[in-house]
Amino acid sequence: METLRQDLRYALRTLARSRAFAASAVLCLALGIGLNTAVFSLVNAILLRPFDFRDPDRVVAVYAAHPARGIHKMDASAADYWEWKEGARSLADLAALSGHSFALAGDGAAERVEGMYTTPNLFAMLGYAPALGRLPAAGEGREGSAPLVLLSHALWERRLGSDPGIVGRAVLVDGVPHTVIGVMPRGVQFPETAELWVPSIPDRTEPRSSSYLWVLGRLAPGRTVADAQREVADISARAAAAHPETNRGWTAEVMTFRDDMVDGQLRTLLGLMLAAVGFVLLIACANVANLLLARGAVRSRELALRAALGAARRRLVRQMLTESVVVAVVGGALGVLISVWWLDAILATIPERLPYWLRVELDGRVLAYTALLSVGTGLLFGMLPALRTSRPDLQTMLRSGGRGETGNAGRLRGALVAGEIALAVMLLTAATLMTRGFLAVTRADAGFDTRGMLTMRTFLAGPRYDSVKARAAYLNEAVRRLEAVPAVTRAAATTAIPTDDGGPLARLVVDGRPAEPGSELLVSCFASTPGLFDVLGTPLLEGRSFTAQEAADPAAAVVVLNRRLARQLWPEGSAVGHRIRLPGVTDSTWLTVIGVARDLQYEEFGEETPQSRLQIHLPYARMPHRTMAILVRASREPAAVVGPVREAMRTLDTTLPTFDIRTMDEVRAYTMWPSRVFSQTFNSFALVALVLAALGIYGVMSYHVAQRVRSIGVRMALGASPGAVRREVLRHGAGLALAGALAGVLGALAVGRAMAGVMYGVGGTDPLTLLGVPLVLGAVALLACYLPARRATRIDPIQALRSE
Amino acid sequence: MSWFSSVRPASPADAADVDDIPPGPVIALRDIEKSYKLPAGQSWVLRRINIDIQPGEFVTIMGPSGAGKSTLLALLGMLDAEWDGEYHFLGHPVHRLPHKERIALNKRYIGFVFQQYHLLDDLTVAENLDVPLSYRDYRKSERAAIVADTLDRFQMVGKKDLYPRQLSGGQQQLVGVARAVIAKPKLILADEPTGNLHSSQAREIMELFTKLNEAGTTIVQVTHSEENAAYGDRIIELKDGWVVGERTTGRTR
Repeated sequence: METLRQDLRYALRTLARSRAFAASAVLCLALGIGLNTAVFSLVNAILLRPFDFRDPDRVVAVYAAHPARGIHKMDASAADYWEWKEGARSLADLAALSGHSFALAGDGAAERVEGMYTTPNLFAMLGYAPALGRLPAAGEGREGSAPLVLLSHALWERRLGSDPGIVGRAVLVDGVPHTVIGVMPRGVQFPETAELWVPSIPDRTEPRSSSYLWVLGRLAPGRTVADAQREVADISARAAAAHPETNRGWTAEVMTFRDDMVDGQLRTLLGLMLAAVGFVLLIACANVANLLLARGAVRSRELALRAALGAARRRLVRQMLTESVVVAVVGGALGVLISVWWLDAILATIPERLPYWLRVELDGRVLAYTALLSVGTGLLFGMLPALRTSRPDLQTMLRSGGRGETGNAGRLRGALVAGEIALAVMLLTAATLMTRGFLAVTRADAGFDTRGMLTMRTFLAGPRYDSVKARAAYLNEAVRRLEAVPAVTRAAATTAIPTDDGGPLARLVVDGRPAEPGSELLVSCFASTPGLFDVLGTPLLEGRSFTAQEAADPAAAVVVLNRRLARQLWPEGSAVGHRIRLPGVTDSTWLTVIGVARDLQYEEFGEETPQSRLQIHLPYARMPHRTMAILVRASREPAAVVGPVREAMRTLDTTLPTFDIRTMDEVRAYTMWPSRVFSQTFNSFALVALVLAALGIYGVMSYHVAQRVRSIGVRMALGASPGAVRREVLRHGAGLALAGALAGVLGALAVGRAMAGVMYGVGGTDPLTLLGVPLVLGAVALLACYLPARRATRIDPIQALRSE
Repeated sequence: MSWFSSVRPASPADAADVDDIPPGPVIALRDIEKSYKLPAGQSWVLRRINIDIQPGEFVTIMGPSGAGKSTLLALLGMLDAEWDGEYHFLGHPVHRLPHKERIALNKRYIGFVFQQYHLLDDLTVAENLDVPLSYRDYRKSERAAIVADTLDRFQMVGKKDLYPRQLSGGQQQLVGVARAVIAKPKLILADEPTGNLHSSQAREIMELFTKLNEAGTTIVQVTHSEENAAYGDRIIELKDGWVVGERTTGRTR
């Protein structure tokens, strides 16, 4: 212990004496450890930190799946839910939820609130108790029973002024009075950002083709996910046999709640981020190891003296490692501050609200990780220099007058720098691929002109809009009033905003082509008022669109297909005039194709599915959703018409919320946030890596020149011109850069392969990236060599030879 | 017999090519002065030096420490540009030449031998010999041939792949001399060439200089040793930067 104290004291004194070294090393390590701490905080929040409900590892999600069609994690139907709930013994309980944007009306304007319809057992199954009131009782939420609502703590505070007497009172939800039965504890917004929950029991007689339920369960004691998987798959197989027209080929899949929340793509990205910051730390370590090697050459006299005075090698190594660990721990402490700053910066660029359980903070686990990482880093970068320097070759030193390092040390330093460059090439490749992916998203063709468009959403809440006729009338009037707003040229209401939303899937039956039940083509359905294609600025390629009468008529048997679907169904001729049927969406009526539209981008870029590319447009009354989007095309900057548009909507019906008013360009920018954030994240890693690698090569080349002052002086005395000296130094640096870049390209190929699944529109072996990155890095490396090379040409040969 | 006592004298073809030497001295110094500005005032290193050195001469510069000998040698070798006065080298007015042209003169006509040998540690004997050639306009094949020939002439073929640290001091200085003459200089400048050698090695190096001088190379050496000075024709004595004496050695050729 006393020796450790002595080593510590000596280490602090030595570092205080070598402030430039200590500051450079601490800064390098702070960047490396800081980024690692930041990314580990994300990994901790997303993958490691337990959810705050009871036995979170025993909560599972159950989905429908059609492996033959590559469909996974599909919502379940009410029939699926009841069959699984009643048949699966390995699941102690099963709850069903469906998300919904509720309109909450109170004293002021209606507010849109994210919430869930849920079976009454959800919170009891999870093990949450309310902060106020009670949880729903079994049977509450049946069709026809008194509507109830459970509020989040935040909503209770914000909208209801934390009224302690709220339980038992009614609030207007979607225009209908709901009795508040309880308030959940602060912070609970299950599953992610919900603010209210309405008990609702799915009706088992609903059509099997109507899939909209997210099913969660709790494993029975002693049972595993695999047990549950086997059981629900058996139940689904029996359902498929009994109901082949809807269930053939469909099965079920069970996964833990964590696996459900964190998909494979996010795990891959987190893995890539961890690897990336690991590389940054390795680069920082190589820099510091090089600094230590350089110091070791300078300190060799002191160490030789200590050895001569009887210090055992182990003692010398320990002393040097103590110094390294002290530097790393100080770097780690500074790194924690850097991680806080970096996380704040990155999280601030995420436009969406994060799930309530995702708390990115420096908890005990993160700090323990940072502490371990710091000590480990200190040992990693310190060990090699300590081992080398602690074995001074007295004879060589005496012969060389202790003037420098041996060829081996020089090679080691060179290898470290080449390694840094290789890692930097890999990181820069990852960042470039991410950026190219992001750019590909920004440049991707949505199929329509996004400029000059305003989008908004509304929810046709309350009994006033129970009838399809009332909804259609409201939407027609809304469109009419919006088109009367100055500078608005066209408006339309639709069920989905292109580039942001998808549509419900339907099985498609073509007249005259009998398909075996369960094997029909799956397509996405969208409904709209007339004028959708005018607003989008995409005239139909063939035929006509709906009339106002058709849009308001629930019996209108017309449909518009997109070009891809039309070509797939009728590759030889026109689709117009053919008949199709959409069982489950438009009952058994045959619908006549009246037009062919351009292919539009539904779903966000990168989230397209084969089904979302096959599009069917229906008149509104055929799929009369309550949640609707309204698109407006303006003849001037769309942001300028927000005020009058909002006013027109408000005066039409003050109880209905109009929300998410954004220009189409904002919608696109918003939906691109994951690409943007990951691109920014990797770019920040790559920038740090590039700077560290450049500093690394600069440091090594400066040291190379400093070590060779005599040799350069001799060469100049022997006739070397400044150009020849500069070329020699640059050649040495270029050799290191080339070796590093070549190794880096090989590594970059592996990086590209790992990233192929998480990027949009760019391959993992993009030749431009694989060629361009090493060239850029080579240029940076040569630039970093240039200053030392220039310094070398200014060496005074007389001084150099005299300093001998 | 020591390893380097059997060095063959340079053949007439190897000797300095005298055809392009203009008539007159190789070196003519007129009122050369060098000083440093110090806080306490001007510190003089060389004062009003006037020296002529003729082609084929073997001149020794002597004097106590701090007399300015090595400074004068560096000035002669054009390694130092900070001085006043006139310096004519083979008819070229060095005092008027820009840095680049001084380097070109150094490259073309001058070879250096240092007291500490100044071999490049990370290069082999053969590679050290190649260094001066690499800075001149020789093709690679020519360089290899010249290095092979020099190794042979200096009886160092067996040592060509050794590094300087694997050689004795005398052997290192032999490589130093070989490196100085490999590019066939007209002038060899030797700064205490035997300062780190014991007497028998020193003698052998001096005999080597004599052979090179007899083959036509002009030599200027700095030494403290009267014995070494006796190998030359003339001794110039410096003290406190001034030339305080000049004498011949009575060397017979």
